[in-house]
Amino acid sequence: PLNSERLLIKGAKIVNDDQSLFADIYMEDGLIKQIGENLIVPGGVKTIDAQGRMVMPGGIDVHTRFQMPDRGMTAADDFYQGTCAALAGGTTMIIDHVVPECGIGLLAAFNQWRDWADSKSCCDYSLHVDITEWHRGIQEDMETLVKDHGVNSFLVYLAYKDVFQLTDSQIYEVFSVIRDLGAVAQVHAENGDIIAEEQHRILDLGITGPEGHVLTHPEEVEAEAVNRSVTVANQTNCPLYITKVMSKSAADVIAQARKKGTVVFGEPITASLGTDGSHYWSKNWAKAAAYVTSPPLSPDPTTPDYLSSLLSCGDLQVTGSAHCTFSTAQRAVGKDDFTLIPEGTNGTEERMSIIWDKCVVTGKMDENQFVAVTSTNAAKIFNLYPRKGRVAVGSDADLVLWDPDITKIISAKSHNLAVEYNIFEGMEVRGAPLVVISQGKIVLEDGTLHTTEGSGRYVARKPYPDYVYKRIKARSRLAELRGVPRGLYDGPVCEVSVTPKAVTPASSAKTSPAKQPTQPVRNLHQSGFSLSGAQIDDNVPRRNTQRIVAPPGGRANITSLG
Amino acid sequence: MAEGRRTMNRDDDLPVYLARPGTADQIPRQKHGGLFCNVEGAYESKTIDFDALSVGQRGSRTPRTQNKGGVASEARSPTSDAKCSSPNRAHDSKQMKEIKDTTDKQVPQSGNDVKSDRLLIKGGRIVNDDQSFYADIYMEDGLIKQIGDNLIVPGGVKTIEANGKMVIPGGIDIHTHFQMPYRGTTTVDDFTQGTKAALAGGTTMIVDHVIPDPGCSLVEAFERWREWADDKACCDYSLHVDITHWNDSVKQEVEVLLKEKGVNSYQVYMAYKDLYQMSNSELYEIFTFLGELGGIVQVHAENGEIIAEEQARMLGMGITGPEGHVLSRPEELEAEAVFRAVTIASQTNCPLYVTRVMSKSAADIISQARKKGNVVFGEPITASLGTDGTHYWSKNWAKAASYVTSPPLSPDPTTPDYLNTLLASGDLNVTGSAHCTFSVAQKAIGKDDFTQIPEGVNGVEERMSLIWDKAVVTGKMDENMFVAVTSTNAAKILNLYPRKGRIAIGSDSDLVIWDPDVVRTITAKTHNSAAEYNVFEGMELRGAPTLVVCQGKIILEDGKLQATSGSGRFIPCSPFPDFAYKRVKARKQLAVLRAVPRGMYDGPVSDFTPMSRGGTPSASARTSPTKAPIRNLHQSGFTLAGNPDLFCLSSNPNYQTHHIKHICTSCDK
Repeated sequence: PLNSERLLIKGAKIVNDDQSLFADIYMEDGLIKQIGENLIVPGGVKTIDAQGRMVMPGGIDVHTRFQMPDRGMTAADDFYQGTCAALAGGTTMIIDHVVPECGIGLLAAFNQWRDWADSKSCCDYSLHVDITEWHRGIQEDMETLVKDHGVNSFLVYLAYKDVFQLTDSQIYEVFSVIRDLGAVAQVHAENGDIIAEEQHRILDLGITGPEGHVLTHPEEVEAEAVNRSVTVANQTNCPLYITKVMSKSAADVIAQARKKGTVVFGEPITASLGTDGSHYWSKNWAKAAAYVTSPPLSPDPTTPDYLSSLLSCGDLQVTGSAHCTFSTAQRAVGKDDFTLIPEGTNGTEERMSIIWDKCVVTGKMDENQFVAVTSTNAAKIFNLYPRKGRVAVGSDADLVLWDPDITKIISAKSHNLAVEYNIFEGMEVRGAPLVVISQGKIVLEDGTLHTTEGSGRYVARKPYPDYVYKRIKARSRLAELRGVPRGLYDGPVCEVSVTPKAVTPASSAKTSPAKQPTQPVRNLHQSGFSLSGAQIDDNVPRRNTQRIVAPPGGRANITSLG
Repeated sequence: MAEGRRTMNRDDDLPVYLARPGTADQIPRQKHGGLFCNVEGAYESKTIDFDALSVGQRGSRTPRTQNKGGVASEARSPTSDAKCSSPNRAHDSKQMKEIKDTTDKQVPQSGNDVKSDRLLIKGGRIVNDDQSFYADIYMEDGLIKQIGDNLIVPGGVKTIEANGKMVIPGGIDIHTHFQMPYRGTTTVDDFTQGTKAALAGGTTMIVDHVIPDPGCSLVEAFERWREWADDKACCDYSLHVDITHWNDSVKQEVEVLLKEKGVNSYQVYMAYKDLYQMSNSELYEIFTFLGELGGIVQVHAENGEIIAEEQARMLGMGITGPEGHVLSRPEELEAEAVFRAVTIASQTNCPLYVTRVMSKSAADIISQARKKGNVVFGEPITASLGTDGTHYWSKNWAKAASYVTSPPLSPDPTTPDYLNTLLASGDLNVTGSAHCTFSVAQKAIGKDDFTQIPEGVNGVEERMSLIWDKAVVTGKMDENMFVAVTSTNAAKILNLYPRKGRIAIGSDSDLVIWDPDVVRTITAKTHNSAAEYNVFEGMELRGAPTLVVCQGKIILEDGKLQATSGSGRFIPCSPFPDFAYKRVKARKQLAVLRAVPRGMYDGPVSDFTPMSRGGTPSASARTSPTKAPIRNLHQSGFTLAGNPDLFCLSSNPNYQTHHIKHICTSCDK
């Protein structure tokens, strides 16, 4: 039982995202109880001597897909295997994606994932829910999930035509609902229409191997979708989170949007930070297929370096792994047609070490920024802070004792995964966890994992994370629009035929649950038609004052050309 | 006669230091007079196409130009292109035509006798897009026949003293909507009124948009527009065709229009949801198709889906006036659509033309794309270069409504200046007017609902003066760049260069004498459009045409307009304009994709359900017709047992040893 777990770390250099300091940490009942020097602790406490090494908040892997069903198959790493791998790499919390099958409903799928994870997960976890179709029932499910089940993030797909892909109108509506619920809109950003066309073309050219995957998913198509989702998010004043930033151009679009003030976050993953897409041309089919993921790894070998620079300067904020592994036999489903290869790469175990090696060892970021991008920022965006993502009194006892000097060679022979290939095979990385503490218990020590299947708890997340919504709220106050008060036009009106007009805002009924009068924010505006207060267009010069010049019903002024 | 000039040119060979680099050939050059000779190749994209210059001459050197020459001399005959199917035949027919020219003269022009039109402009400063120089110009038969000093011309020629003023190629307004049908009514400026306004402003050619109703035939719509314009146009014209729906029969019609009817540019809409709007897949297909046939894709770039949502929101908030139009179409939506169009064009290797660049952000996307190497052209219009969207908030409904156009004028008052700068720097290339005028009564269709207001602004008459005033007077561009953005670049994109867009021997005699010092005030009281409002009302512009010559005839002189309805000819545009396609062709040769040669994978294969879900980007059934058989073949192959070494055994013995070694190191756990 948790009560007996008492731990003292002595002589630690505590690393948070804002500062590093030397102190001891005392934990009890899975929480950090005291931080300081010469702590008074009960007797019989297990003590770890950190010897001045860094102790940092356990990593949060914001994007995993353990045990994910795909056409009757299941991803090779289930919640047990996956969370073991995460803990081995210094990650003490994962956020997995619920992918509801069409027609099943978000709630049912969510409960299914809860069952799987509760019985198998070895570390705390939370769940994003993917919106794979759009109708009124989905909107109700979203409300329930936010209010009763602690979900504050939903992912929409701009890719996977005819399967998950939503139209721009639907995305606009989903974003409006997400904003009203105080959640975060996540986007899988790729233009599915163009990809479908390209797949058709490439298959026609007789290219059926994994190289076809990257040829049909050029990075421009990723950047385009990022740009489009930024546009929709701006229109709807909804916070945006781009999952899997895989290319330089997509990252550039995010960086530019942030400079223009958009509330947008970018998530590069272990794979895009650690390797590139040149392996798609490997002569070994199984190896090439192991790299298949969407958006694909960029064939441009300078991409990892570029992305880690943007991560260091703050243009990209969080890192996940998008860990979704399939065995070679499962991949071989697409041996004659690359469009059938199940997608996903490993990375949950390697994430922390690779970022340390690529960013901290190279001097791009310091250890505090490392904590920010591997843990703190994720906790802030998804409203887990400071319970997670910080070493502080009252926070969860999820800690990592980090040794910056260990050098490891990543290999499928030694990794904690169920698959035959590791996409980082042979990579030598510096920096690794020495001791990992999850929920106040030591789960990794002396290179040995001591995990307990099913010990992971579901962590509910409240809506309206401050880190995201403070700005959104301020903007929605500014964004009230009003009409120009004018006299009625009573001049001649041309007769027209009754054919429907070009620009009538007709959104098809089935796709618009948001049009229902259940929209609190929109209805407020209906009566809020007023001239008072600051307006978004106050900076715009006007030709006229606010006074009503022509009284209602007054004369038409078509003859005055002023 | 042609033979005679040829020899004359040979006698006139340039000095060695001006000879064309890299060739010893004797190349005929036309005479410009004095020191001011063209240096071929000096300006990469501005060099005269000498082959194409041989309009009406014998002995053109390459068959490629036969078509152009044919078009030039036989423009009145819509079927002339068919004659040019084989170079030899075309050659013969041209020779015959020339003999006819000298003896029998030309195909009679409607009403006017062209042969009597002989004009000499003396003492003008000829301004082309690459250089300016002083020379006289002699025109005959609607063509420029001689350029130089002390020309020997027949007697009885009407002579105009330019007194050192600039003589520029007549403007080409690449985007008009004259006489456009709209829900049972028609725009107030028909082809007569519209082209008169164009001529009054120094524009001697317009390119109008054919808008077929969705579901209707493109060719029929094209013929209808031809009829209207042939009856009424006072200057030469050409036509873009808008693709408002997409299927196989449209595809065939586009091919007919492109190959036989002289239409090389097609507009697609990313806005107007449920009416004209194309899906991304359709755009991809259209771009691919036109890229192969050598057409130019024009896009109306706005995200129609989000506009529809925003319109519903505005109306829901009770905003029904013209300000709702601009509020529901923020400039980000324009920029987004431009970005998407650029992406698709780059994927399909198709040249892209963005009509109506109205905002800074859209222009920025275009200039960024050009910096990345995309073949993309941006067209700001008179309205976006001259005024801004603050007028949508005017208390006068009729005035506010007169500014309604899509994409809307930007409420950011710094936009016109910004766009003029990009136009001057070459990031934007051409200018149109998007002239599409409705009366106040017509605009009032939308008096209670801004989404019903017919869209369009004036600008065909003001275009040249406005650009001169905003860009040349302010020192942003010189007069050569002015010619480039008002005329030459458009001619190049339409593949009409150098027949149009240049003052050179053999080019059409569409000329303007430009007075940079005239100051005019724009007002609806004096403009040549039939609309009650002018969006540039009260603007004082410096620079105006004092004389306009169109088809060799003086149309505007001393402020008097003497245009003839129906005298305008349809100018067919041929596909694969060099200006856009040289680069596209080069890229096509590079873009060959090859598969990786691999041995067959013969390891175990998992079982899976046919329904494609999860992470697989299964396209619609149409795109992967081979799915089903593949799956069934391997249903029995599901086993993880056995030797993992077999995973990657290659049928090619060369790979085998390597692969087995690899598997041993990476798969064994």
